[in-house]
Amino acid sequence: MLLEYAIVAGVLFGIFYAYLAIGLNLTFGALRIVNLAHGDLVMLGSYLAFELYYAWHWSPLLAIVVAIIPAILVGGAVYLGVAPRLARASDPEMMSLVLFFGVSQIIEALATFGFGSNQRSISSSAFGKHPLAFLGQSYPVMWAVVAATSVPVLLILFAYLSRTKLGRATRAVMASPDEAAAVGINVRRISALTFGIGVALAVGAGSLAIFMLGGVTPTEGVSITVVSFAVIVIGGLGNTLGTVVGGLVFGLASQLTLTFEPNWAALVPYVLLLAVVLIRPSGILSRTSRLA
Amino acid sequence: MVSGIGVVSPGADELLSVEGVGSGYGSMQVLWDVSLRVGRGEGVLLLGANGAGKTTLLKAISGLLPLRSGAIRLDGASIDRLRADQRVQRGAGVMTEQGVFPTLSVEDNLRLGAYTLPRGSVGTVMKDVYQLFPELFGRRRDAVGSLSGGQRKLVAVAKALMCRPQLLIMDEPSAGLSPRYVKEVLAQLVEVRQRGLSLLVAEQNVAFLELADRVYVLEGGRVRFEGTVSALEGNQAVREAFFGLGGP
Repeated sequence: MLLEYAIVAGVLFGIFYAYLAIGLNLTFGALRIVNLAHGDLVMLGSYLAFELYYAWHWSPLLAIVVAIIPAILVGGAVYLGVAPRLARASDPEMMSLVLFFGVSQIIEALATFGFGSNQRSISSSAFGKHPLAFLGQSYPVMWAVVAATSVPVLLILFAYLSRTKLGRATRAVMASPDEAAAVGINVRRISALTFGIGVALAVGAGSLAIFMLGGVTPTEGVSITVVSFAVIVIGGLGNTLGTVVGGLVFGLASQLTLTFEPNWAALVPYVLLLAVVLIRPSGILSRTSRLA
Repeated sequence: MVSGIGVVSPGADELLSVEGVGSGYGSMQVLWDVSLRVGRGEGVLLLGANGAGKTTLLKAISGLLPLRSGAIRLDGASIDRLRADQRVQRGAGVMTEQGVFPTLSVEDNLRLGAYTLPRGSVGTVMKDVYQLFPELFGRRRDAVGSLSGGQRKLVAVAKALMCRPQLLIMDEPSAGLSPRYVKEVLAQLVEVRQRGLSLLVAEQNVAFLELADRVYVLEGGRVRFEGTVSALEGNQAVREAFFGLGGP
């Protein structure tokens, strides 16, 4: 019984982690930019969901949709402003790390200033009060909401990447920017769009994070970035499908240990991360299998 | 520079003109004052040893590397300030050294090759290219990285043809190929040339002289010889220096 519960919880958290991390991986895969402000964008998304719910009485999940266009515009503009300068650095990946670390600190400071340092949360009764029964166990309704939100978002993202011309161009840029330019792709424009989509995904994931992480504080960004990073490294850097695998592995590992050896819960997912890095450094799904 | 006869006359028939181009990487200048022309419908072979600057020159022409001096014109219009993708849109297709997206499927590679074409025409061009390369059709769902070196090169050639270029710029189509595939690639290129496609091909393999009307030989980033294939064959000094073809 306990095992079943842990597995259902693990899969569910896994799907959530995949959604949480996929924007970071998309940005890294296509642009070789390590967006250390990723978790802070998730945090902003949680505040957006909070405001939508309490100030406007809208569903907090609308944050996912509301954020798309502003995120693509702002993210794209930030990319276009930053990328040419990064490209001139001798080590652009390292520079991006430092730069976005700074951005992360600024967002955190401004959020503390704007929202206060108290934790905010939305009552899970926003989605109904009765627990869900599944395989003889009862689960919070919120979990079903998370699954019903994350799965379509991920499916839409994969359909975009595999079936549309822009998505195919994005995968081309991920595979090789020079080769992409040589077939006539405007690499800068695709990169800006991809960065924007990465931001939109991060902000959107914030609307679920406020439930799954028990609330939102201005300083939670760093730990979200760390979890996201672990998930994308386990699944394979630059491999968007791998992120789903990484999320599931991470979710199952943390829920199983939380259920059976709670003292080890904070440790096991990261031991797993180290094991993956040592045994299969390219992640469970390496870049060569990125065909989805 | 050793000059040959039969140099294409500049003017209406000129498709690509490269004038006094210098380029390089970082503090290293690789190309010095390189000039080159490709006429409409002409096949031009760029010969030279490893490190002579062939790849650098093709990258500069296709916009993957900025110019430090000189000018490039395509179809009469200056293109040296255009980005690489804009040059493809103007009709200069490119097959780079790598030439493929190894992590993507054969079909995705071909579709990306046709990126600049209007959506409606991709299907027709794809059918046409599969007819030219029937062995790719059976592998169309496979990742290009899982194919043999020879098949990968076929994908690269097929992908470069997908954009229906006026001029196809190719970087060493024979690199790493077995003689069987060199023959096959050559045969395909002969066929597309007959349809009026202009070619600028960097090579070390003299078998590709079959494709060429004219030849440039690069050495140390400068044009060492320019002329027709027969002028090259008659030039003992160049033959010995570059191809070890002593001859009688």
